[in-house]
Amino acid sequence: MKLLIIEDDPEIQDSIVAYLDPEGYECDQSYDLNNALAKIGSNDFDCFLIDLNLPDGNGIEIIKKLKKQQKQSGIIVITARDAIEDRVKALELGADDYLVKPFNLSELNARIKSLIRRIQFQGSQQISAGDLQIYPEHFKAILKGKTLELTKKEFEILLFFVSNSGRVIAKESLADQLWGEDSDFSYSFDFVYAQIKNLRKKLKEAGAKEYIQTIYGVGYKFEN
Amino acid sequence: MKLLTKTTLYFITISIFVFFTGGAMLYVLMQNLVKNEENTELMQRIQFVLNQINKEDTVVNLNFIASEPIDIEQINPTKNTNNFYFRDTVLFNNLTKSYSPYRQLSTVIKSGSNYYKIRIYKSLITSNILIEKVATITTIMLLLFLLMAYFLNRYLFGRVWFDFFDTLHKIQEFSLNQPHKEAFTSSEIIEFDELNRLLNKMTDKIINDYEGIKEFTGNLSHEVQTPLSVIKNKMELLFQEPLNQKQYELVGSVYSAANRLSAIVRSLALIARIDKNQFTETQLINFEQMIKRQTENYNALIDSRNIRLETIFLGQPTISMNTELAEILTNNLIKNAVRHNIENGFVRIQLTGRELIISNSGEDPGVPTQELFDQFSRASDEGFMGIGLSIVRKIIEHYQLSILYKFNNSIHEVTICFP
Repeated sequence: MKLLIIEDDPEIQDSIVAYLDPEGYECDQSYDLNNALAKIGSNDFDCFLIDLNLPDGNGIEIIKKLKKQQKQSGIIVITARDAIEDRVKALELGADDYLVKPFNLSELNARIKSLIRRIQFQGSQQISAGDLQIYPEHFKAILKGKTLELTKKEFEILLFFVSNSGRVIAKESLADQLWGEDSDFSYSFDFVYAQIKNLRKKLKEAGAKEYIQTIYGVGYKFEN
Repeated sequence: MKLLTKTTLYFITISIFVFFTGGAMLYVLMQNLVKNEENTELMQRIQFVLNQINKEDTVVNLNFIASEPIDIEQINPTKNTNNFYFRDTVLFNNLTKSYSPYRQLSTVIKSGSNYYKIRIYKSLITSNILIEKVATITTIMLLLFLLMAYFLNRYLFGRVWFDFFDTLHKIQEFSLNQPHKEAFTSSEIIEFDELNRLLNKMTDKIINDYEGIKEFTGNLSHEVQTPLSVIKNKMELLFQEPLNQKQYELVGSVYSAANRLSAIVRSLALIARIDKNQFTETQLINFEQMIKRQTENYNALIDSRNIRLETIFLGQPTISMNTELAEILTNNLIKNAVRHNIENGFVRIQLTGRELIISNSGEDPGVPTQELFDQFSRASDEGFMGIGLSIVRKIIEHYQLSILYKFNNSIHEVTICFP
């Protein structure tokens, strides 16, 4: 799996690479538009991470070029919050997903995985984690042969956990995951606690082991 | 009190005072003039009578030479002769069978060895009528003058103060959201011209400062996001490392603080974007659908706290808004209602064509409800509530809706009125 990360801030670049490293991707890095365009010409990538706001131009140019080449690669766009027109334009041009800065790395990781599933397996992939089998496109989770009765939110959290299994996930990331980017600009962890409590209860009732650990002071960790 | 009412009131009070005293003085003056006139005439007449008496040496037949009543009676000798006394009296008129006012002049004369008291009269009816007529005419004239002065005053007031009211109207219309809609025009009246000139200067300064602050907040919130991103990402990487409990707590605190800071900056950026009018794309909002979807998000919390959720949809407001802003508006309010609630409490959402009412049980916010809409009002947990509500207020202002927040008997009630 080859990824090209196009982002002008080296600190953010390094963070992304460091977080994605355990996933076993091959990450290439570009810090500006021209460098990125050159790399596209000479290499094949499975997935692109494109910051639209680049020092020497708009990242939209990269999407245009990729679409001209008719490559079957995934594109995730990173935008500043107030550049909604760019975001819409990028999606219209063929970007698959977008993330708004500042984003959580766990969120980015989950999005990349979801995108790769869609491209490589047309979405029909089953994810296994311990005794769990998850079918993302059917919103279905099966534990030891029994389908779990989860709400949409609970399923989303479970998928998010599984996508980031073995990682510590901050409660803030879960709140963002639950309420979306424009939730209400304040973190209310009551909601997160309530959802996690329900999810844990359902997993336990179905006979699962304690997958979700509490990391006191930070958040949670899904361990299979 | 209105300026016009106030001046008119003063004008009327002073006019009435002046006219009453003036009228009274005029009346007294007229009466004196008439009395003098009557007295002179009576004196002339009595001189005539006295001349007759001296000439004829008798008082007989004197009655016939007077056109008006005359009394002559013989009296006992007295020293008090040739003195004249005037007085007002009434006499019975046989023709009209009524008393009429008369001016009387009496004197005592000595004719030969006899003493006579002579009283002659002059009717006051005609002069009284004259006074009355003059008084009536004067009153009518004065009333007409008053009326004319009143309308003239109004007319002149309107003309003279026109520029002032124009200025006042423009000040009322002035809004920082739409500055430079109409500048204060120059006026023929120096004072108003000066006022408008100063107002123009002042509003220009206010607009400039405001634009500057908006620009600054916009830039700041944009610039701050990158370093915040770095902090957040590095913290996320840090807590993937094997840490002990104490370190987790420290990292968690820093991460939380960075997220909160990021949320504050984001909300400032949103407010700046609304101010800059960047949400131009609007469409008719289906509030019912939106509220149903949003409340679903809170089911877990609503259930866990045993809160009763009641939604009543009686109608749909027809209003075009930006979808993103409409979402933020209702979501913030619903979230607030669920969040600042109590165990076994309730949330009630009622939507009609004209208003959206969200009420919920909850504790006393401890500050006046209107203050909760101010930016960063630190009412309750983590000082965050204020931001959500100040965004709500911004959106409300942007779409010129109105919002009302009441807290009564442990019930919070927010009402949004649609136009």
